[in-house]
Amino acid sequence: MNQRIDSIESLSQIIATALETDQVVRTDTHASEIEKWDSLGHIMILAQLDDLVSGLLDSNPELSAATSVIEIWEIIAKHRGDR
Amino acid sequence: MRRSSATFCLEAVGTELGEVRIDLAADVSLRDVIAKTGIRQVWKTNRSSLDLAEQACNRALASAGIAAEDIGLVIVVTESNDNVLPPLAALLHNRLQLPHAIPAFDINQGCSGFVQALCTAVELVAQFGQVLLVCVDRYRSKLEQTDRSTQVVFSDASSAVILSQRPVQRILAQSHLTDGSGAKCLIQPNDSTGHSGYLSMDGSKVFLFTIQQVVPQILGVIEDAEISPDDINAFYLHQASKLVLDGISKRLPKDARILNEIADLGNTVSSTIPFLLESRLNEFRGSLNLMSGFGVGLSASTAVITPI
Repeated sequence: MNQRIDSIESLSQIIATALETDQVVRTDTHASEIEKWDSLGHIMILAQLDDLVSGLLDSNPELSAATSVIEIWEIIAKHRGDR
Repeated sequence: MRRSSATFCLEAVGTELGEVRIDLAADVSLRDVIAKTGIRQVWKTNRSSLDLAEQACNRALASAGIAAEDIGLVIVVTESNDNVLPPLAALLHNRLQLPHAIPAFDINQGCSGFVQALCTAVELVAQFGQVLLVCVDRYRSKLEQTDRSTQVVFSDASSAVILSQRPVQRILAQSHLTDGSGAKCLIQPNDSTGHSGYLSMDGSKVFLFTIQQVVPQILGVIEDAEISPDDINAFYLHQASKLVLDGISKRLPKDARILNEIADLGNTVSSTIPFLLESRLNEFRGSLNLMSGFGVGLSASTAVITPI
């Protein structure tokens, strides 16, 4: 799998991998739609993103409340824009 | 940063796990979760916190070769008192038949509690003599059955350490932080009648707290101690989960020796660092080490401890 986040589609795939879910994660998916996207699942997503986007977790506290693919994508885009 | 000239010796450690082993690895559906949390089994007790704490204390006293009548102060760190009042320290004081003319009090604190209490106790050793510092929690009785984020993490356990006035160690630097705005991230609320609900954890907020607040605290204490990370023999970090330990590790030098014993113990709340100390006591007393506890509050405490 491509481990680069260069589009919201690739982010969807990375979230699915982090959660190890058989459910399809689309670009408009919300956490409530995915069984494994609970509190523990969200940490797994953040840990995966920590490996892929430098400094993302160090400066974006709003990531903890981001409960959809779109919200996470917007935070990553803003983070990259800020750097 | 706070500096202390107080000297002490961590004489002994005793621990006790819950008597019921829960084998997470036996559940195939948890295989992926175990790979991430690093926790293969957790422990539950059907005993009281008093009974659990007594076992750890007896082990610590026996290991130190210290009689109960020689203890001068008891501090119990717990969020699982068997009663609303009196403090567990009073019941433990009676159970261990400690001298009447000593203070005994509880500190209501979680995963940062051991380091907070240790830093407090070190300042009191000169006044009270040998200190019995106890940590005990039974989180499993607080967990909602369907909450996998807590069910696969927490263990019931107790620990006890004995500090003496022997001038063997001192705290080179320490730092403490409290952020009550994050209190609801890890909370067991009471209702209006005083009955407790389930423990609720916003894991991702706590996880980001460790990255954004605890890591800078650790690096700041190292700087304040005027040492290099390379000087540190080992990092005694609260064993929250592999995810958290990995998140911190990535932000420390690659060759930092970060102790990890979470696989077979689980997260024993305030006892995780004493469990790490138990098998390394001589090494700990003879080398420069960093310990850091963090969690409920939200709160975090970090200290660098050096041999004299």
